[in-house]
Amino acid sequence: MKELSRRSFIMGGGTIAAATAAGLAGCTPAGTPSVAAGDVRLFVPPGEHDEYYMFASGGHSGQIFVIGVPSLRRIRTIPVFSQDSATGYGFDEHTKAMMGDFTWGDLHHPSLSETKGDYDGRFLFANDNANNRAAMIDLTTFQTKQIVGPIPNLMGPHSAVFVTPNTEYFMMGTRFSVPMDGAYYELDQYSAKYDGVMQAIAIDQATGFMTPAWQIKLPPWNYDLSDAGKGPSEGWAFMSTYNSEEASTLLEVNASKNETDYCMCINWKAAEQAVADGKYTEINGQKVIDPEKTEGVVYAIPAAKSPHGVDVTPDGKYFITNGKLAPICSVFSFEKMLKAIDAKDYLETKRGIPILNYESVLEAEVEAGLGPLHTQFGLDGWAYTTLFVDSTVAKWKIGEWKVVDTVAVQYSPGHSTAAEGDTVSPDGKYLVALNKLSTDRHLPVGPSHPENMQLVDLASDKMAVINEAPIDPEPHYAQTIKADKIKTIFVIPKDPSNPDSIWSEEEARIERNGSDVTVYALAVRSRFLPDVVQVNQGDNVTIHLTNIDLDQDITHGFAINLHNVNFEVQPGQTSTVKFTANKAGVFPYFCSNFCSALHQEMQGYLLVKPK
Amino acid sequence: MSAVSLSNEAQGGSAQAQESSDPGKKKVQPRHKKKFPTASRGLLIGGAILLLVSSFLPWWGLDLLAPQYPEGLSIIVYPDKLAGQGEYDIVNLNALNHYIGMDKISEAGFPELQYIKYIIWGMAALIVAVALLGSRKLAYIACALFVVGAAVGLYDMYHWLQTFGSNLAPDAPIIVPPFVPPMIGENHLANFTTYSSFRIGFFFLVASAVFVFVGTWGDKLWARKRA
Ligand SMILES: [Cu+2]
Repeated sequence: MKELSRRSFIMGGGTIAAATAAGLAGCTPAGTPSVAAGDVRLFVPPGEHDEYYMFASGGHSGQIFVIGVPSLRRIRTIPVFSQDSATGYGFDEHTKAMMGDFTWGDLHHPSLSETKGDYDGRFLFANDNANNRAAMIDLTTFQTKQIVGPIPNLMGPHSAVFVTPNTEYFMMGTRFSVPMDGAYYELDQYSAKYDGVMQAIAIDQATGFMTPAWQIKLPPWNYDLSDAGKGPSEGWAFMSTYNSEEASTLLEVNASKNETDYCMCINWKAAEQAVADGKYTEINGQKVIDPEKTEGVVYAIPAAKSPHGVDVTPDGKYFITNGKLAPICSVFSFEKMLKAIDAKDYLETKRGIPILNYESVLEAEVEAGLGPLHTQFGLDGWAYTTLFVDSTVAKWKIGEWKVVDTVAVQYSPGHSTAAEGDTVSPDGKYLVALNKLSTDRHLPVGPSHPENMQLVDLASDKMAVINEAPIDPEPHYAQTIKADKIKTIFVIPKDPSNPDSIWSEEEARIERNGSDVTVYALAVRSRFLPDVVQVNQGDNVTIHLTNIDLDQDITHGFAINLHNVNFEVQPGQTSTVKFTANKAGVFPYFCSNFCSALHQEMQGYLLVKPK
Repeated sequence: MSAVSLSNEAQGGSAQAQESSDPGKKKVQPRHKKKFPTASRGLLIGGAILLLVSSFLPWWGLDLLAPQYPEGLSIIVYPDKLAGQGEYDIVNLNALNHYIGMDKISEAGFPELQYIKYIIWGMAALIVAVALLGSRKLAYIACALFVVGAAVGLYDMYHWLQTFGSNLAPDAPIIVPPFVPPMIGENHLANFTTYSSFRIGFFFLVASAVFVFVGTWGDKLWARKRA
């Protein structure tokens, strides 16, 4: 009753070697003098699990990186907007259809589903800054389950996506402004005819599936990042903006002129109500709320200068813009904001948007340092701001508004992620700085270097970098969730209603209907059935392949020589591939994902009879 | 020796006791030949309950451990079904076993799983009947059935272990010499170590047998002791 599994021997050895290397590297991060020798705070011994999952956006790789914290081991890469031959994502019919006309995406901001403002470990949402799409990943399988879009009327939904505190909506705002209805106007019409958009996507609570719900038309400014209100500020969202200059060329200069841009304050519950009340216009099938026509939805506060991140404190009382081109974080009070709105304490109204008086809403300015980009939170009101230009992380306290500690990171942190650091109850403990440049930190690999993740210890009085690891391009934002909140499954559940699946060797068959050939195939250690498929040149071939090995980690691959076909079937999964047998000849097919001792024997022949 | 017990107050059904105490009507019977006392009947009922409970519990199991199966695979035998520790243990065991050419293990392959449960229930009913009727003859039959059942059951298990371990397909990818997995204890084959043992239901069976045997012969022993 045994298996001489070469795979497990090989895999086992590899895992241990990798774990040991990570452990050693962790113990002595080169050139980080602040690390005490033999520091065990970050050491995760081989075979033990990390305390947290970190979900890092993969930027223009179109993927999500799953990383263990504190070890910083990369555990998995989830293909989302880009093809991935390692999993067959974008090769089988289902994922190909999901990806639509695109083979890549620019995945900027992952957002974990929440219940009462706390991560609940069900779903992960992400945006595609390149193709105006959103994706949902099911955290029972770590597979991308849905992509919606391109959604009409918006362009470059970069503005840090967020979910509302009970995952009612997944929202994203546009980086680029274009004519909203897709019409053609030259750039000299920029201010008049171009629009920004905030997109709300409704979430089905049972399945996580997304449906575009409504849009808010916004001035042609660039929306950068955003966060949802929580607690007292639940029902609101805050979004940073730059280019209030409305420049359309050479933004580097022309969008950096104003001393202040804006923090947008959006009452999304009011927007939801406005839609329910029919106060919207339909553009390209989308329900669009226009603040010039509907009051009480959008407000703005001046904020210094080209702010990047906007972050809501865990208690929901404050929202903070990070100055980027100004060395301060502006802390706004939600309570004061409501008062200013009540008192109509407006500087002016722009395009129907009341601009609140900065002084009236400001709680404090934190002199954070140069290039503040993003703030995360820890225990007891501690806040941690990444400083891109200073290349540090600054620690300060809500209520005291003064930096008490900084730690140098290598180099130029964009975002950071603290353990549950943007929820209602941050854990403290760890923060990972997502550094844009690694320069000399790792073995050189040519002119371009990897990005650099650094683990900062938050448990001690003084922050210290205690671990680091390179990472592929390019994490922008990440979220870090307690590992025990995620409940994965080990076998894809059998779906008896799926007509493409077969579950026994007797059901394996080839059906022909004219020139359409359908193969119902199965993969089981270590064979394919059928393992001979004979077709005529020109036939349209459909192969449904089910992995009937219902054993964790026994994933099979299916690749056909010279056919650009390669996909995986996870335990219990059925996948489909279609192609036209244009080339006459003999083409082996084989298991491309090491499965068992006789994996190498797991093959078959596709015989394409010449016309 | 039997006469002494006569003087004891009648325990097992007063009608008979009175009858037999009438020397003019019937010859006095030795105490142990009479119907069972309450304690014995209680034991018999207890034995029947234990037997009934055992029919819902696993009787025997085999745990398999290998480097790549740190959590192990199990095959657990109930009187009426096969199960694993995990939902798919038996599917996976079969997937592995095919490498050495072993037959597929499935419930359909063991016809006795269709009726063992009913035999057990029948036995339990018989024992209850023994207790209620107090019939010694029936009690001896029940005890005999226990002995026969145990012998047949153990032989059946050995037969299956031997059959599965020995009838290996000659064209299997991996050739191993025929083997008989032990009924109890540890065994090694390739990367697997197996541990076989009787499970809780078996101990209920044993306890049931003890109850029934003591219920059948206990009063004799007590009587002997008193004497
Ligand atoms: Cu395989």
